[in-house]
Amino acid sequence: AEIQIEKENAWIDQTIGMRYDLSEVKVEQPFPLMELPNEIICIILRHLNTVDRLRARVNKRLYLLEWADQYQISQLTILQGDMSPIDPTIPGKVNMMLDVATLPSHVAFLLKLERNVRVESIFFSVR
Amino acid sequence: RIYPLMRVTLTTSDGASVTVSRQLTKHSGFIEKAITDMAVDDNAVPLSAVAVDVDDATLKLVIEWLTEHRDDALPYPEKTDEERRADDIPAWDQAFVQKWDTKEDQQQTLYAVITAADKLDIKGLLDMTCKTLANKINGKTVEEMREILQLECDFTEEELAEIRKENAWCEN
Repeated sequence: AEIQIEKENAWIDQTIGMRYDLSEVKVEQPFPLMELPNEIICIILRHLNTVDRLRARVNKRLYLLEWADQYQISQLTILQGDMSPIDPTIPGKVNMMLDVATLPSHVAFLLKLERNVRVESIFFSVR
Repeated sequence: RIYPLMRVTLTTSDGASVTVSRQLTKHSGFIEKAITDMAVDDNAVPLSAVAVDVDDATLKLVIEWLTEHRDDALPYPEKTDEERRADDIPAWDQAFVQKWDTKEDQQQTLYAVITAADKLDIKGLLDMTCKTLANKINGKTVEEMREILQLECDFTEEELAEIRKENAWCEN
């Protein structure tokens, strides 16, 4: 019966293969991060850029580990205009766009930095 | 220090044994310490077995990585926060990890190699595998991170609001 079903379904599989390149379909499987010891999770956090590090606080344990792990930002640039918050070519540099509408968030972020981040230099660029 | 002749027999958690050159095991702080603790002659061939808490399949991957990196400088150079980045994984290492991506248990393999590198104290391998995982998370939204890491949100509404406030400046 199995062979018969395979035969009957073969044309469907072929049609799907024509529409989609199944070899390209890659399903990202979940990673058991919480089974790792805290020290290793901290190493992983240190390899994230500042923005992804902030986003990675997706549960209480990660929030506390991120808080407990001291790190350094080489340059925090506060500026007007559009710019990516991180510069992929310069690790440790963060760009923060000055925007009155999001000022409370800027303050909240600066207060968060004060807890566990050492900022080497701050650069203001206001036109 | 070079150990051209000396070989070490490693016994795995699932009962297998592998004999490898000391040129490879010198990168493992755990194995080096075990050998030092045995206080044996460096020229003894082979050494008494060193038991490692790593299964055979994972140890094979570790040895494959060590073989490629046998000439890497020791001690492993520590990087400052400014120098640290996840996009500088050497091409050979990227290909090495990508081989697992075709496996159904790709993430379990990555997990096994990370924990093996930690247990065996192989800093270069631990660093590379942690970078690999960081690269899987980098650039993802909070929801995508939760999905990849299969994590439930256990924050209270107030805690969540505070985190959203701290993150809002970089979310648009």
